[in-house]
This record gives sequence, structure tokens and C-alpha cells, in this order.
Amino acid sequence: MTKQRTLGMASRLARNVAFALAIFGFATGANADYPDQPIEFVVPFGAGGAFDTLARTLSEAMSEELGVPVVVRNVPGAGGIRGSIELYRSAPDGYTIGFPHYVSIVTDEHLRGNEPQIDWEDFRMIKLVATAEHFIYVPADSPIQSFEDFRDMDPPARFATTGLASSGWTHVFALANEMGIESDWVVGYDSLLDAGVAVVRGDAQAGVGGLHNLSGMMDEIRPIVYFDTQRHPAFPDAPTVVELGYPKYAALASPYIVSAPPGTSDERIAVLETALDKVVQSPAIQNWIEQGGFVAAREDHDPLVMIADQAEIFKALAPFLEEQN
Amino acid sequence: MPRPYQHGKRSMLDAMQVAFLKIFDGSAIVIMLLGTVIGVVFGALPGLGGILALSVVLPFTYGMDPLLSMFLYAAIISTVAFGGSVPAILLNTPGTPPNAVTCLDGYAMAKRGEGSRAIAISATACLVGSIGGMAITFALLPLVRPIVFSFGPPEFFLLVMFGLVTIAFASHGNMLKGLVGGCIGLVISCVGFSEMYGVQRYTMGSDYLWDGISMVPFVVGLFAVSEMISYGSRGGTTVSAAVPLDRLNWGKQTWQGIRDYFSYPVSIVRSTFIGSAIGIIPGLGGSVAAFLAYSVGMQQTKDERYGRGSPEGLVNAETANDAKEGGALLPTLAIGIPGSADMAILLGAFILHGIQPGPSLLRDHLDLVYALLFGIVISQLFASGFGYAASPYLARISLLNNKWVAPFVLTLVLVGTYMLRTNILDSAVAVIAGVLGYYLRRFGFVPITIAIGFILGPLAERAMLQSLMISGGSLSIFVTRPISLVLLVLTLITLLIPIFRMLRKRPPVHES
Repeated sequence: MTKQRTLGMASRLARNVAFALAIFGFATGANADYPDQPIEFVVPFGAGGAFDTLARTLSEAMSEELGVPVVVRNVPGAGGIRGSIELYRSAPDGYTIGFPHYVSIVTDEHLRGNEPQIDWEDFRMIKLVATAEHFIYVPADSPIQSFEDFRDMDPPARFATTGLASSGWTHVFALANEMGIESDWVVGYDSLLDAGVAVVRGDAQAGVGGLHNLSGMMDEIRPIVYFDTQRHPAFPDAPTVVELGYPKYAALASPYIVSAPPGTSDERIAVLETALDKVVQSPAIQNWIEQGGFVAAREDHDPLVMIADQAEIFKALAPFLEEQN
Repeated sequence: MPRPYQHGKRSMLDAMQVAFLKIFDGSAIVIMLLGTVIGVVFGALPGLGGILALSVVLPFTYGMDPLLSMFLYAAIISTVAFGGSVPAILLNTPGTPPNAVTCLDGYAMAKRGEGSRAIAISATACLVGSIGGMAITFALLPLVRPIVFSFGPPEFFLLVMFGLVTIAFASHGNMLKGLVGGCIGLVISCVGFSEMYGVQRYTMGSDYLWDGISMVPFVVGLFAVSEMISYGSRGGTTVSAAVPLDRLNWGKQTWQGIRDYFSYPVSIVRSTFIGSAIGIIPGLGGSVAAFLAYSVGMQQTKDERYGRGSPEGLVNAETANDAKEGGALLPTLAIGIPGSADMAILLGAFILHGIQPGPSLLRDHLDLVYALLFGIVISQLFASGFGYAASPYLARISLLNNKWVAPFVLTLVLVGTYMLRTNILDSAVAVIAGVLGYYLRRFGFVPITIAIGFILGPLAERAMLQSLMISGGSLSIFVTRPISLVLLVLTLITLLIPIFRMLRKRPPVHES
């Protein structure tokens, strides 16, 4: 075979392949070449937090899966809302994805009654990776042993948390309100972990938080109610809100949902979803979820329903927040 | 994909050996050197700082050997304070907010033509303060729980009050203007969403103001931008014309600075203690350590020049500044509670490596803890060595014509404040704070009093409200708890002594 003929065959072959690819690409909505440039992953908080470390672990695995770099960009500000808005307004071309902070968005709109700047329902939710579930706890040496003891406390327990209308406040206030008990507060702690230190220190008798922020302190505290549909193996004695007869509050959680700006095409979402399905099962992500005290996404976790349910809970609480102020 | 970190339990000596041997791994030294350079540079550039430095390197350490990455973090964390002191001394511009108090004596020394001496003092503080702070901290290891859990909101409130007293003497004799300055800072710090009440204060519907006036752009603008405006308008050099230039010997000054440092053994020990103790208590900012050590030092000193170019003031401020990081490391490692904002990022780094900080860290990953300690010690040697070697050259900045220095520093400040959160409005805050600072300065206000009000005011507000929530509104909570009672008495004494002194002798002449 002469050199010339080889080249000729090769070029013919290349032409045919290109043609086939073009047709294939056309058939699949011209997405065969997606992604062919770096994808940006917007995190609405600074480096080092849960959103950030999860995004970095995810982006590393996604880069390998998709064959293009997935680069984390931190856009902190306004309690996660600034970054969420920035993601919302990014070009819907599949090259910008991220973690909108849905809880912050619906809290701002329905609980604090601020005019929403974006409609969270328009986000394209790609994949729920994990959730952070909360529990109410007392110090380990507290005389309060059970949920019943807690319910019958007189005067009612004083809680430590970050602020009014914060996630900790909402969990406790919603439940206590439904049960018809008063709640007293010490607020202003920087994080739920700081509030945990405060509870052990004696600033308050009870607190609220999750394994994701209190895992270093589990020897010092006793969870007494868990906001989920099933008990947690790390503290099997704590009943769930479902068992206690308040099932709707199991929806209260912080979900980590990889999302894309409104209008991103179904094809590109499908590519990302396929990659994420694989990535989420990887040991690195599963290890992150377990080590960090998060809950891996389950069958009964529908992100859209979860956020919508939270919005309803917040709407119902809004009048009480005004009263507190 | 890095594999999760998997060293099993080790004995203490075994762990120490693993970490120690790792130092001689060729790359470890390079990494520590790199970390030192990053720490010093990020500290020295106004606007940048430890938080940004750690955020920048964090993604790169993903996939790195965890021990090596500890060396890198250690080097950065422990050298930022020294870096930040250099512009504070030479340009009256703190590289990071906790260096604000360094300006008082450091810049005054630079004006006298003693820039090199001042930098050498700060470099020695970096070495002695960091290592001393860490030694104290680890000696206190069994006490970490009691310390962390015995400081509640009433104690916080009084500690911060103690720091606020700094205003009394930082105002250079004009206490009324000092207090007004403090109040201006306080009012500005009120802007933003108040977590405590779930309400917005003075945000005018702006998303930017929702987060409040950010500390770094404000403090850096207040000092650096205002100083550069006056540099540009004044011209001339930092070293005042009265200093005989031909008699300046920068190299000799460096040695003198080292000797100066060790001639205040009591201050060193006291400030190291204060620094590491404040570091251990989570929730108190790094600035409190420097303010407090400086303010206690003021009570003890016999130096008439304290606050106007006294080496002793510089020793107190910088030693506490360096010692606080060792303190902040302790609750981070031992209980998993970050002692400072930098440490919160370090916690994130641990999690990225699949390690859960907290009691299990000390049990299962002791080698990492030792790696951090060794990393801190070695990078201090690098940083101070660099400080000594570079001080004679750096000090020459104070001989440059200010008209050339100003645009250069301004550019760095504006880029730095932007980079912090990639938000251009942060740079705008720096400019507005600078113009405000310039005019207030012209009317005889001292910027540091505004900074103290701005930094400590919100801490005080929060701690006081929390105390009252705990006590059900009764003020008795401040006197019925032993630690807070002691702090209250100390604060009153500290506040009254300068007033007493001022009454006894003529108030010192206002500088400039």
C-alpha cells in the first residue's frame, strides 16, 4: 500500500466519521460536542464551608467524568442569595451550574416577606446530592431525657441559635408552635456549632443543629427529636417528627441540589445528570457525605417538593415572626 | 481522586516521628518556604489576608499528601501577622485588621527613621510569639475544655469592653475626639442584616449592604486610602526631614531591634499569654488580642512614648498578634470548633482530606497535628529570617518620595479589596472609608479609634444582648459570675488610671 493511498483512505475515513458525527449531533440537538469548554460551578458561600467542600469534591470527579475542567467559583454574600441570583442570571448554556441556596431564597421571600428577586422554581434542578438534617438536643448531663420531658418543661426551654428566622429558629419554632408550647431564645451565635458550645456552656437549655455541624460535640449533647422520616443510626434513641405526629416538618432540611440557570436545554441537563449520577456514587463523594454528617439523597427525597413544603411552613410562620419582633 | 486519609491510630512518639521525618522529605521544605512567602505577601498586601490566602491554596491541596498540606497551611496561618505588620510600620497601613494597633508605635518609629528596627522587632515577635503561643497553648491542652466553656456572653462583653478602653489612650490625649471617633465606627458597624433580630439596619434595600460594611475593605480603606491621600497631597518622605539621613544605619538597626525585643521579657510573656488565651476562646476576633495586649501593656509601662513610637508597644501588639494563631488552633483541633475565621477554612481543608476534626483527630491523626506544629516552628524561622534580611531594604521605602508611593499602594489596596470577594463595591467601600478617614484625620481624629469602635462594637452589642437574654434582663449577670466580675474590675481600673494620670500631669502635646 502506497503512502498516498493510505493518506487518501485516512482522509476519506475522517470525512465519513465527521459526517456521521454531524448527523448524530443534529439528531441529538447538536449536543455531541457538549461539553467542550470548562464548566463553572457557582458556590454561594466562601471557601471552606459545606457548600464549598462538597462542590470541590464534586467538581473534581465531574471533570474526570465529563472530560472538561469543572471550576468552582465562590460568590459569597447576603446569606447565599447573591451567589444564587448570579447563577440564576448566568447564560443557560450548560457551562454554568452550581448550588443555589434554596432555603435562603424561600426564607427571605415567605418568612421575612421580602420581594423575591428571582423565581426559584425556574431553576433547573439537576441532582440532589445530599441533605443536612437537623435535630433538637439538650446537653448530655441535662435532666431532660426524652421528648416528653422536653414537652412538659415548665418554664419552657430556652434555645440557643444564630438568629430569628434562621434555619435553627424555624425548626424549633415551627414544631413548638404546633405543639402549643412557648419557646425562649438566646440568639446571635455565629453558627449552629457556636450555639452548640453555648448550650453545653449553659447559656441555654437546648439547641438545634445537625450532625454536619455538631459531629465534634456528639459526646456532649443528647438529640431528642430528629427532623427526618427515619431515625439516624448515630442517635437511634431520638424519635423523628413523623413518629411524634408532625410529619410535615420532616421537610425542613438543607438540601444540596446541583442546579442550572432557567432555560438550560434538556439535552445538556441530561448530560450533566448522567455524569452526576455516576459521580455521586463514587467513594470520594460518599465519604464526604458520611464523614461530614450529611444524609445521602434517598428515594423519598424529592427536591422540588422539599423546597415547596418548606415555603409553606415559612408562610405559616411569618405572622409569628412579626409578633416576635 | 485522592484517597481518603487512612493512617490508623498511632502512639504519640510514633506520630511525632512520622511528622518529623516528613520535614526532611525534600518537598516539605519547599512547601513551607512557599507557604511562608504566600503568608507574608498576603499579609503585607492590604486587603488580602489569611482567609484569602487559605482559600486560594485550598483547592490546590486537594490530592496533596495530607501531611504536606498541613505544612503549607501552618506556614500561611503563622506568617500572615508578620506580613501585615510591615506596611503598618512603613506606610501606616495595616496589612490585616489585627495589625491596626501596630501602626501606633510602628509608624511613629518609621517616621523617626527607625523602620528597620521596627521590622526587626516584629520579625522577632513572629518567631517568639508564634512558638511561645503554641507552647503555652499545648501546655494548656488539658484545660482547653474549661477555657472554651467558661467564657460565655457576659465574659465576652467585658473582654471586649476591656479592649474598647484602648480608645482612651489611642486618642493621643484628646479623649472626647477619641470617643466620638469610636462612636462613628460603632454607627457604621450597625449597617446590615442583624441576625439577632432578623431585621435589616440601614441597608436601603441594597443587597450589598445586607452583609454590612465589610471589615477588611473598611479598615484598610480607613488607614491605607486616607494615608495615601495625605501622602499624595503632602509629598516628601515618611522619615521626617529632621532626621539626619547620613547617620541612618539600617543594618545596625536590625540588630538593635532584635535586642530591643528581648529587653522586654515581661511584656513578651504577658502578651503571649493574652494572645493565646484570646485565640483559644472561639468567637472573639483576632483584633481583640492585639488591642487587649496593647492596652494591658499601657498600664504597666513606664515608657513615656508608649503609643508614639515605643518599641515596647510594638512588642506587645505583635507578640499577641502572633501568639493568637497557636491559641486558635487548639479548639479547632481538639473540639472541632474553629477559634477564628482562618481556622474555619482550615476545618474545611481537613474535611476535604476526609478527616473529621475534633477529639478523634487527636486520637487518630496525631501525626497531622504534629505536622502543623513543626510546620509553624519552621516557617517562623523562614519568616523571621526573611524579615531580618529584608528589613534594611524594606525600610528604605520610608525614604521614597510619597508622591511615588501613593499611587502604587492605592492600586494594591483597590485590587486587594476587590479580590477578597470579587466584589467591586468592596473597593468602593475602601475609597469612601479613605475619604472619610482623610477628613476626620484633618480634624484631629485618630483613625484607630474609629477602627476600634467598628471592630469591637458589634461584638460588644451582641455579647451584651445575649447576656441579658440569658439573665432574663437582669444586669446582675455581669457581677455574679466570677470571671466577669474580675474582668469588670480590671476594665474599671484600666479606664480610671489614664484619667487619673492625666489629671496629675499636663496632658501630652498632640502629635503632628
